[in-house]
Amino acid sequence: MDLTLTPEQDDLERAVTRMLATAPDAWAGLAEMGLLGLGVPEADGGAGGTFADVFVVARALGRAGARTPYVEGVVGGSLLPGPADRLVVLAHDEPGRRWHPGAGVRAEPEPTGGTWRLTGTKEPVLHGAAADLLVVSATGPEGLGLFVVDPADAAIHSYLSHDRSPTARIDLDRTPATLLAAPPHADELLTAASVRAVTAYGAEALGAMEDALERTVAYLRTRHQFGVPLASFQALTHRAADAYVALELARSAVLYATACLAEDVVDPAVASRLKVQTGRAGRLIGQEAIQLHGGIGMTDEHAIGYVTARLEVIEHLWGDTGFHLHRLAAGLGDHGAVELLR
Amino acid sequence: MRLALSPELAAFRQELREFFETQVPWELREPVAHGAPLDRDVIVETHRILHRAGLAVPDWPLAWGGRDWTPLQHHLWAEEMHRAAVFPPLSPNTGLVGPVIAAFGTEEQKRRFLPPTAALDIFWCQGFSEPDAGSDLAALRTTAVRDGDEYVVNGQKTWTSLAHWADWIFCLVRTDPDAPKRQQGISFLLVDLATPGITVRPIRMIDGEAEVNEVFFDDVRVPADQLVGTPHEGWSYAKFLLGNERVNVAQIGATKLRLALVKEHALARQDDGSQLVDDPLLAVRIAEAEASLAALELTALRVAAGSSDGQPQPASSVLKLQGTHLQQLVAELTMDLAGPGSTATGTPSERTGAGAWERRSALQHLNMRKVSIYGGANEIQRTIIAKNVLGL
Ligand SMILES: Cc1cc2nc3c(=O)[nH]c(=O)nc-3n(C[C@H](O)[C@H](O)[C@H](O)COP(=O)(O)OP(=O)(O)OC[C@H]3O[C@@H](n4cnc5c(N)ncnc54)[C@H](O)[C@@H]3O)c2cc1C
Repeated sequence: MDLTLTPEQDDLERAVTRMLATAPDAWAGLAEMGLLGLGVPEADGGAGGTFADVFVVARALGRAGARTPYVEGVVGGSLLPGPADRLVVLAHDEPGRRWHPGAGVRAEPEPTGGTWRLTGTKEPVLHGAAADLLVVSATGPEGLGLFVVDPADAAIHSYLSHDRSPTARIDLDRTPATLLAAPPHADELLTAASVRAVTAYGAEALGAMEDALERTVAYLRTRHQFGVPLASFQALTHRAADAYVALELARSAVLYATACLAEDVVDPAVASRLKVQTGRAGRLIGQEAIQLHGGIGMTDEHAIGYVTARLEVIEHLWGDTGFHLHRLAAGLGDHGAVELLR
Repeated sequence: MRLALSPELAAFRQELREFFETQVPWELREPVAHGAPLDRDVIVETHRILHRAGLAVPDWPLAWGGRDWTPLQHHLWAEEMHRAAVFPPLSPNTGLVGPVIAAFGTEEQKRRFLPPTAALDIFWCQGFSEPDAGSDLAALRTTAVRDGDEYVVNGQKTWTSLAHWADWIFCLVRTDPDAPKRQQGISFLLVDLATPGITVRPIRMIDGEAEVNEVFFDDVRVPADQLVGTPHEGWSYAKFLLGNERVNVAQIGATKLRLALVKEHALARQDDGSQLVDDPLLAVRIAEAEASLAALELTALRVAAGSSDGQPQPASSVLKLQGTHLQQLVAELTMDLAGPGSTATGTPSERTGAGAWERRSALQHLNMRKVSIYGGANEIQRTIIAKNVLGL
């Protein structure tokens, strides 16, 4: 096993970081660099590459705090492969529902001749208003299905979420749709998509945590109180050390999940373990980042708080830490010790 | 990035698995598998079987019995050893004093000490801590005064693990009380415990065992050629050693074995058909421990942690902190799984064997509180990370 990136991937990381520091529009910049559709085979209209390339881009976005539909596009492209510049966004979450991949979706499909009509409300849909196509989940008599909807046919209400991500509520009222996957195939597709989503968001969270810890450490060095730098207080430096340990453990989990996907090993348990690590680490690092900055950490201007916000957004998409712990707990009997080397 | 093992590595792993399972008798592995207290014979016999097969000191320099393995091969070696419940080679020998002699000793010291250290013909113990020098190790007061071809040692060491089973002790001693900095007057001395003037006194611990001792030195005469390397340079050798010790005490493979055992108990059917994992809180705790342990194991695979170029690696502190945290977590889980059975300790003779895990569980938990204290207390590891990694 080798969890290191190739020199090419290191170059890619530098190039993306440079672009994000200078380009006025991060999303256009990614498109220009040909980075949309990474991880989707060229034969399907994607940009080729492996999931390790997706990791590199998502982490760089996390570090830079850019709010692009990159991860949404990776997930959408895996559900409905197509041209790299076409943004497909999954609309699955519904108001008042906790995450559950298969059950509890209230949107309903209605067959009309050869096509379908969907009725229901989807929210939050991150970057829903930017989508060229929506993949929408809905529950029919036989179970969960996935459908393709033209966003022009839906009522989309868009706003910025607490982390400043463009987010949408999508109201469907007998909205025309075509069937993408019928039950039980839709469930399988959604599960595979969730492994990709959790891994790609994990990479983004990793970048965000790196950024939060680096800025916090810099602040401890430069901010003075009682005539000394904050870094002279062990109560604070030990908390920074714990944050660092959490970050390194999360990094290992994300790299491993990336290596799995890069070799087409799609294992929900691997994704769940990643989620547990990044969920715990994200909350710790995010909260410590604000606390160790003091009052300035609460301000809109300083913006460290938006990293914390972003980490909470990621935590609550595709199942939170609690959901993934329950899923792992349900599967305890499937194995003896966890075998990492395959 | 690569996930799968190459066919060569898969074969390497298979070979090790077979060796550990067939060449180390079950009598030597059983007490390890059950987490029972060990006796000296288990440690020594197991070590010697491994040594004869060239598997006791694979990470030593090639000239002294090391193997030309990649980090991944070393990982597989450790993992297979723990999976088979083989007690690892004695760490004071293979992980602590051996590498110090190999890195800093004279040629004569290497020839004299490395072969019997690798073979466990010398059973070593570690004499660093003193009553007033724990975390602040440089405060140590045991002195060694040069007298002709000998050093005369006076003072006291404490918390010396397994000194009652050991043949020799490696000590930090003060050889230059006038050095401008405390760290500059310290030397690394090898002492035969049979030398007149040494008294070893056991310390009874909260688990009822006496695994540690006080060691008293009263005008103990030690040949000068048993001072490792250069006089007064002992502190830098000690730092090198402590970096390796942190990695040794992380014990990832052993925790994996313990956690698999926890799961076995938790999944076992009770008389009424229920399982302990029916308790969702318990099941989630086990799942979380597995996730944390997997992340730690991957971290160990990902970072170089063993001391190199004479220096400890910062990653060793991460492994020490989290490795000891998880050892304690799994011991707690085992005890909580046993419930009131953990209080039913019975007598020592009732605590042996696989069936008695519940009786042992609270004692094991109490014993495990040590791991966040020794090997550099976890607070000290946080200080090292803050300083050496984060630059704080
Ligand atoms: C079972 C066991 C086996 C051992 N085996 C050996 C052995 O074989 N050989 C050997 O040499 N030693 C051995 N030790 C000793 C061990 O290394 C020491 O106990 C350890 O270094 C801590 O020292 P101390 O006990 O004096 O605690 P102290 O140093 O007094 O620490 C007390 C508490 O204060 C904290 N603390 C101390 N300094 C700081 C600081 N600067 N900042 C923040 N917190 C601080 C510590 O983390 C700890 O929580 C063993 C100990 C145990 C328990």
